[in-house]
Amino acid sequence: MTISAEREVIVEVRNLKKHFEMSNGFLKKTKTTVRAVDGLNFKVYEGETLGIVGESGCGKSTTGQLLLGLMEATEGEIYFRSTDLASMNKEALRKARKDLQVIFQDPYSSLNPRMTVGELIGEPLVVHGIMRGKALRERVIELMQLVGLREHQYDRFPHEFSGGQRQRIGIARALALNPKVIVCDEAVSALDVSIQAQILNLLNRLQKELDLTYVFIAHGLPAVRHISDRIGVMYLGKMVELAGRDELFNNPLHPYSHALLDAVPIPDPKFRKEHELIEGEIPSPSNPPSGCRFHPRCPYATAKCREEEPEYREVLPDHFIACHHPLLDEDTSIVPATH
Amino acid sequence: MGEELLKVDGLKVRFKTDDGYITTVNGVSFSVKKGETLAIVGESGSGKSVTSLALMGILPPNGEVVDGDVTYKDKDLRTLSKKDYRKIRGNDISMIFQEPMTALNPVFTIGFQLREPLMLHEGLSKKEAQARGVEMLRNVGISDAEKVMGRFPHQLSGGMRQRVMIAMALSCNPELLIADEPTTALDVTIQAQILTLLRNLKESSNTSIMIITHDLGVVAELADRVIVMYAGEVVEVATVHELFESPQHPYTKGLLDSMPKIHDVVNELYSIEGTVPNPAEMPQGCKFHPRCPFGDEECVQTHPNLLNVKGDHAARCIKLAKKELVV
Amino acid sequence: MAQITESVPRSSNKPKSAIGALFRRLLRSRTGMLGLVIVVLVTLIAIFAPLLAAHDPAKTDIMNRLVPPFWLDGGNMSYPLGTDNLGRDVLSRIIYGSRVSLLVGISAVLLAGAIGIVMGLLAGYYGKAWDFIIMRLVDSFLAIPSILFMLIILAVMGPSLMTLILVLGGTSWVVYARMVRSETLSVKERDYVRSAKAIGALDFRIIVKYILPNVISSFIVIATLNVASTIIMEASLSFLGLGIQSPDVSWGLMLSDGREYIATSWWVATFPGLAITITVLGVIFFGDWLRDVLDPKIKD
Repeated sequence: MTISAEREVIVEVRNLKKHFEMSNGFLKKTKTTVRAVDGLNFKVYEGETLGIVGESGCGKSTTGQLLLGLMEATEGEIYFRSTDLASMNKEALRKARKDLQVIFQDPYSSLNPRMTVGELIGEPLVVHGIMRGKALRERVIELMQLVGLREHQYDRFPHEFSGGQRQRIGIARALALNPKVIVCDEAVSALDVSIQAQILNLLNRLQKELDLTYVFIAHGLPAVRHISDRIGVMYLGKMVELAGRDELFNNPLHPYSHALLDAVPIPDPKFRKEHELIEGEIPSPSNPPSGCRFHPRCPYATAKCREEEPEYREVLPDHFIACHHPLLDEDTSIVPATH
Repeated sequence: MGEELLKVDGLKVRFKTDDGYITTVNGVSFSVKKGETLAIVGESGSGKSVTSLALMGILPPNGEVVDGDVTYKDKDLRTLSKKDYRKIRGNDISMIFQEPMTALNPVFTIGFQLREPLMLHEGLSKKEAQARGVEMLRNVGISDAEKVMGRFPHQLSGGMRQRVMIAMALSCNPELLIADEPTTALDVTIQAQILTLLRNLKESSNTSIMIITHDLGVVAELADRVIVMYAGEVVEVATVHELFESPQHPYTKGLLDSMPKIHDVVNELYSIEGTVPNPAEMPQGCKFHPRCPFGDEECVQTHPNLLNVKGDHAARCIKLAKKELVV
Repeated sequence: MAQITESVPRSSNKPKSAIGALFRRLLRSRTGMLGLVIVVLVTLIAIFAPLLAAHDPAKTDIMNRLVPPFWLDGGNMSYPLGTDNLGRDVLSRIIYGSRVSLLVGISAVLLAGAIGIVMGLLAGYYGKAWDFIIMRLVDSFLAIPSILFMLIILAVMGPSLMTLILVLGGTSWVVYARMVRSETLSVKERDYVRSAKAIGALDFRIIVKYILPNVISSFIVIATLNVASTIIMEASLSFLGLGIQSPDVSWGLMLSDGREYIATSWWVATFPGLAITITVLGVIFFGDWLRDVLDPKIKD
C-alpha cells in the first residue's frame, strides 16, 4: 500500500504543539503546563479518511480544534494545501474556514436550541453572505434531503429530534459551504449502535459523492476501523503510531497500539479471551513521564525508554512509529482470523 | 447453577410527566440464576436502566412500579418495608453505576467511606476496618491501596473510582451484583481491566452478576445469558453463544449486523431504519414493526408473545411461530 | 447519575405550540395563575386609572378629611376606603399610585437590564481586559451601599420620577451584569458556539444569535423578581421623601402621609401598604412560575 505516492496532501501538520497554562493552589499559586498536544507531525491526503484514536488526555480533541482554528497553536504549523493556517490573520482564517468544517460529538449540545433546522443549516451560507431568500431555502432543502431529512422538518427545533436526526442536521450544516475537509470529532460516539451504523454509512456515502476528506477523531475503535483508510494512535499528546488501517490492526508495532487494540471487546463470545492488560493509569498530561511517555506502563521498557524520547519515524513504508523497541519480529496480530 | 436467585415477573413501570403517564417498562420477566452473569442489552429508551432501578427500589420520585412481582430468594421485594429493603440492598444485592462519582461522597476520603459501614454493621474497630478496607482495595487491583484510602473521590481517575465502587459494592459479599453500564464512561484499556476484574470475581466468589449495557462487545466478553430489550419489552432471551450465533428476533439480528466489526471490515454496515419509538407514542402491535424489514399488516395488528425457539431461547416475533422467518 | 436522568422520561418531545404549552403549565400552577391575575389586574388598573378613579387623587377637601372606610361609622360609599388628612380619596390615590409603582418598577429594571446584559456579554465573551475592567466596576458598585449612592444622586439631581428611575436602574445593573457574565461563560463553551465559530460567524453574530437567546430566559426570571424589589425600593424612597413628590401620588408617599395618623386613622397608611404587598406578592408568584418554566436547568 503506498497511499502517499498517489494522492495529494491536503492538510499537513508540522511540529504542532498546544500547551495550556493552569494555575492552581489556594494559598500558594503554582503554575503547571498541560502539554495537551506536544509535537505532532502528520499528513492528510485528499479524499482519504484519517482516523485518530486514543484514550482520555491523549490530545486528539485538541488536535481537532487546532486543525479547525478554534484554538491557537502554541507552536508549529498547519498547512491547508500550501497556506499555513496558524499564521493567518483572523479575517483570512474566517474565509479559510469554508473549506474546513466540523461535526461534533454531542448532537444535543452542538445545535443552538433557539434556532430552527432551516436556520441552523442555512447559517453558514448567511454568515458568508453567499445566499439568501428563496435560493437559500432551496439549498437548505437540498442539503436536508442529502442527509436524509424531510422538507417538512424545516421549521422544527432541534429538541424535537432524536440523537441520530440531530447528528444529520449537524452534518448538513457542515456540508453547507462545500468544504474540502471535515473533522469528525467523536461524531458517532454518543449514538446508539443502530443509529451509529446509519450515520457511518451516511458519512461514507457523502465522502464518495462529494469528494470529501475526513479527519475522524474517536475513542471507539470499531467505528474508526470501519471508516478510516489510515489510523493514527495518540498517547499523551504524541502520535505514537500511524499506519494504513489493516496494517495497523494486523501488525501494530507500538506496544501501546498493541495493548489498545487488544483491549477492545470483540462482539463474539467465540473470541472470548484473556486480555493482555496494561498496568496502571494514564498519567496526567501536566506531568508526563520522561523519555518515552508510555514507558511506565510498557512491558518492554528499558533504561533507554526512560531517558531518551523515541523519534517518530517511518519504519516500514507508510508505517510511522515512535518507539525504541518496536514489535517487529514476533507475531503481533491481535485480531483473530476472519471466520 | 440453576437455582433462581432473583425472579422478575411482569414488571411494569410508569413515569408521571407533564403530559400524563408514560410506561417505559412493560411486562418484563426474567430471572437471574445463582452464579450466572446475565446481561440486559438494549439501546437508549429500551427500559433497561429503569428495570434495574425498579429492582433496587430506587426509582426517581416520578416513577412507580404499577404491576409485576420481584422475588429475591423467597422474599417478595415489592411488599417489603423500606427498612427490610435497605437491608437486602446493603447485604444481598449491591449495585454499581456508570458514573461512580455520584455514588461516592465527595467530602469524605475513600478510607472513611470504606471503613464506616464495616464499623457500623460488623462492629469492627477502626484499625480492623482500615485493614479490611486496604484488603478490599487490593482485591480490586489497586496496588497502592494505603495511599488511595487517604484520597478524596475527585483525586482519583475514572477507572480508579470505578474500582473503589466495586470494592464498596463487594464489601458485604453480595450474592447479586447489579452493574449498570459499569464501563461506559471508561477508556478501553481501563474497561479491559474492569471487565477482567468482574470476570475474575464471578469465578472466585460465585457472585451472580446482572450487567446492564448497550455494548454487545461487553456482553460477548462477560455474559452467560442475555436478555435483549426494546421499547420496554424483552424481545429475546438466549445464552450468549446462541444469541450471537443464531439471533432470532429481527431487532437482535439488526443490532448485531449494525456493529462495526474490528476483525471483519465491510463496505456498508447494515442499519436498522428509523429510530427508537418515543414512549408516549408507542406503535400498535409489535413495537418493532415500523423498523422491521419483515413487518407486515399482521405485525401491526398483533402484539406477539415471547415464543420458545429451542431450549431456553425465546424471541418475541409472530413470524417465528409461522416459520416464515428464516434467520 | 447522568445515565439515569437520561433514561427517565420527564416530558415528551411532542411538537406543539410553545404558547399553548406555556399556558397549560400556567393553568396547572395555582400560585402562578394567581400571580398572573394580580399582575394583569394591577396593569389594567394603572392603564385605566382615569376611568376607574371616582375622584381627582390630588384634590383636597378639608371638609371631608379623615373620613373612615364605608363599613365603619361615619364612612360612606363616596369614599369607599376613606380619605386622608387633606380629604383626598384613598381609593383613587391607590389607583393612581399603581401607575408610579409599575412605571418605576418596570423602567428601572429595563434600564438596569439593558446595561447589565451588555456589560455581562462583553465581560463574559471577550474576557481578559474587558472582563477585568467591567468586573472591577461591578465590584466597586457593590462595595458602595446602594442606599448611600441613591441618596447622593437624589440630593444632587433633585427628586423626580426620572431621577428615581435612573437611580434605581443605575444601581441594580450589577446584578444582571454578574448573572449574564456567568451564563455567558458557560454558554460560550457549548459546542453550538464552537460550531458557530467553525462556520466563520463574526463575534457580533455569535453574541446576538447564539449567546443572548440562551441567557435571556435566566435574565427574564431574575428581572421579574427584581420588579418586585424595585417597587418596594420606590415606596421606601418616596416614604423618605426622596422619591415622588406631591401632588404626584405613589404608594410609598401615601404610607408616609398616613404615618402620623396610624393610631387614629389607620386606613390612610394601611390600604396603600396592602396594595404594595399584594402587587409584590403577585409579581413574585408570577416570577417563580416563570423560573420553573423558563429555567433551562429544570426544563431542557
